Amino acid sequence: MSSQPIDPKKPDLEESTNVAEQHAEVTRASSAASREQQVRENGLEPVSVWVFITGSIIAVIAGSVLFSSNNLFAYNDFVKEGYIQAEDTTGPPPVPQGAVEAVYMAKGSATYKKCMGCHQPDGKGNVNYPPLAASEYVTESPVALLMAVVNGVKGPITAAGVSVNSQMDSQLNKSTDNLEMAALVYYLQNSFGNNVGKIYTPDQMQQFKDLNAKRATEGYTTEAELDEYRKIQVEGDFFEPGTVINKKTGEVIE
Amino acid sequence: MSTTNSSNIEDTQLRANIDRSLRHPVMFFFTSGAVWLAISLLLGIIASAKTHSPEFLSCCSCFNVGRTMPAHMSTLIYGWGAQAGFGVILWLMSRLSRQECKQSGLILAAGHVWNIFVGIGTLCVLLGAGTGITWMAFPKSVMIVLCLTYFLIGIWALIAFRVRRGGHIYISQWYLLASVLWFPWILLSGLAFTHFYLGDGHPLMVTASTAWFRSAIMFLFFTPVAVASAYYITPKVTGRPVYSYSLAIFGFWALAIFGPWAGMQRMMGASIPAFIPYLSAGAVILLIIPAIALVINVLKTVKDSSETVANSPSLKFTIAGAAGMLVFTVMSAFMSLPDALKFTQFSIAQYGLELTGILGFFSMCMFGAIYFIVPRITNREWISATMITQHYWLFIYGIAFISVFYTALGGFMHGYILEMPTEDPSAAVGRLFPYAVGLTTGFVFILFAVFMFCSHLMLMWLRLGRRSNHPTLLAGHASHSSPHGPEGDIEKLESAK
Repeated sequence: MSSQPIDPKKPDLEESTNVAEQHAEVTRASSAASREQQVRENGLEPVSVWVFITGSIIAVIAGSVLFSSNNLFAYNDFVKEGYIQAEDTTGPPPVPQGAVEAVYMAKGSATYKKCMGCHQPDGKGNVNYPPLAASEYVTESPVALLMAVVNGVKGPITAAGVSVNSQMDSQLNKSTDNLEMAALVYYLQNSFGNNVGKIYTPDQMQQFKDLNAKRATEGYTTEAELDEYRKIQVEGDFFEPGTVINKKTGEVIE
Repeated sequence: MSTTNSSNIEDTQLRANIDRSLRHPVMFFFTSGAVWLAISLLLGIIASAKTHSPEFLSCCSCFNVGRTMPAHMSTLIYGWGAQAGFGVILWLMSRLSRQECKQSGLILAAGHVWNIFVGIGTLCVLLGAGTGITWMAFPKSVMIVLCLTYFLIGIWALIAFRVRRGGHIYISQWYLLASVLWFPWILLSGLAFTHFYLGDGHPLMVTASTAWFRSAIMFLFFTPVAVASAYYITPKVTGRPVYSYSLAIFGFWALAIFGPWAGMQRMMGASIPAFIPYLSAGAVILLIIPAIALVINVLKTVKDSSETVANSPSLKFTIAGAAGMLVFTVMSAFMSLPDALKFTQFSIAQYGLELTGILGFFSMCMFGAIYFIVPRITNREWISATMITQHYWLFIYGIAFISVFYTALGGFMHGYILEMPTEDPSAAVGRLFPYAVGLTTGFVFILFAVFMFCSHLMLMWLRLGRRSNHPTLLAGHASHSSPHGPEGDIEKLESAK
């Protein structure tokens, strides 16, 4: 470090700065950088003719691969010649099915979820809403039951010996699926200690719908009106216990 | 003489300042990338082990192959590959453009965002919320954030190039500039064609888009970064100019022209116009040309410096990486021949090829660059030549084993089984068993190597490296006649004077 380099642009540097110290600082901070090789120029070797020959051979191979396709712009033949699509031997997907009692109970209990808040999970009702357990409006005829559910009930009513005076709004649409209505009726008539046992078919629910269409008044039913409907029974064949039906459509599966 | 000296010192100071300005972001990219590489290898080992020992880690659904495999590839690409690439791009571009980085804080912050979102994406994949799209398994929103974060990182390499000093553009700058510009193009195209234009559309088109995406990330991002690093390290360490600039430019344009066409050969036989896969198969074969250009240039440059090659870790890794590029491109070309595709198209050969490319070629070049860059930005020398040697040989052994045994042999055996649909399925699985075990074994070797690398890098990051005038050399020690002065702690030597 005997001969310190002097920056020609700042000839007075050595007077204001301890150059030796500065240089040591540079050496410390840039030890790796200072021993680096300085390569500013590029090699000017020409590209060897062998590179071109090798490149040409590769290009010929690539070209032969490209044109090994018989028809590059065939938009119709996507499969090998002689290709035959395998036959589908699995058949149509299985139909969801089950015994009618189980299907009805499952569907009915699902529908009952929205009744549960007032009539309670055990069907015993509360101060404002009458019990469904042992209720004559539930057990005697599906017509009275569905009239109340579809149109709502207003005014005093006595069911299973319990008198209430309140109002229930319509809980089911009058065009609700027959299967859902039949399932609800079966569920209510055979739960909470009720034991009616009749298994209505979805078709029988049409008789209720016809009666409902012929009602004299629109809107809520009353105790007197429901008492009339209690006397009406639906006609036609019931399901035999254990009949297997389609879970989606309610059709009987042989 | 005095003028030369003083301009040399100014120049040295400039280079030291560039290194210092980039210390934090580049070091962060390297260390977190190395950790992601280790995580990726662990996930790869789990995924591979489950293919031959299905009971392994069956306790938890997040270790299923369907989750560890995409997590393994995603961390390998976005955790390790992209971050190692960013570090090398930023440092090389600043050095070659002779400009300090003025926004290292912003880059560091973007690097953290990148890591956080790679982490979130990996967790999503492991918890079952991945997209299931190959190489783009991260959820759409994570990919979009990664894309936006990239712009905050990549733009600084562009700016450094724009304000470069000196008129000459080095060959490495060509490749770096290309990778910086191509990466967002690939990422945006991949995202657009899988998630937006066609996401609700035809799964065939999504498959075709990802086939191109995978090839483009490999050939148009990883490859140019690795080649740029090789074209920098080789002349820099040997002190000889790149053998032939024209050959390097020739290789660059071959890559730029043929690279974007590759990828669709994987769709051979699919219901897309027949010319697309055939064109891609041709393009993949032509990609041997840039590899030949690189290998000739590297080997001719180091021809008379066998001692330097034996000593320098950077050069050793770079030469292995250049050889890896040739092996990778030749294997890709061979497996893309229409007759070979019958066996390789749906077999493990494609995955093995990706490993050969990313680990055997790209990662080797990145290791070479990292062994060169880290001593400069930390002002410390690598601690142990033994660790570097172990990293080198374990890694080479592992990836060479995977390439030969798993990719080539296993790939064709798998394809051969697939071509025999009448064979008993359990017998087919039995035939693949040794190759699956082989992959796990190869991964374990690589994991050991990466453990060496990762812990070494961590020690450097903690600034525990050697303070010395002498670089860490692999063979033998610096002699007393070394131009850098006697070996020893640099500060003690200074004060002794």
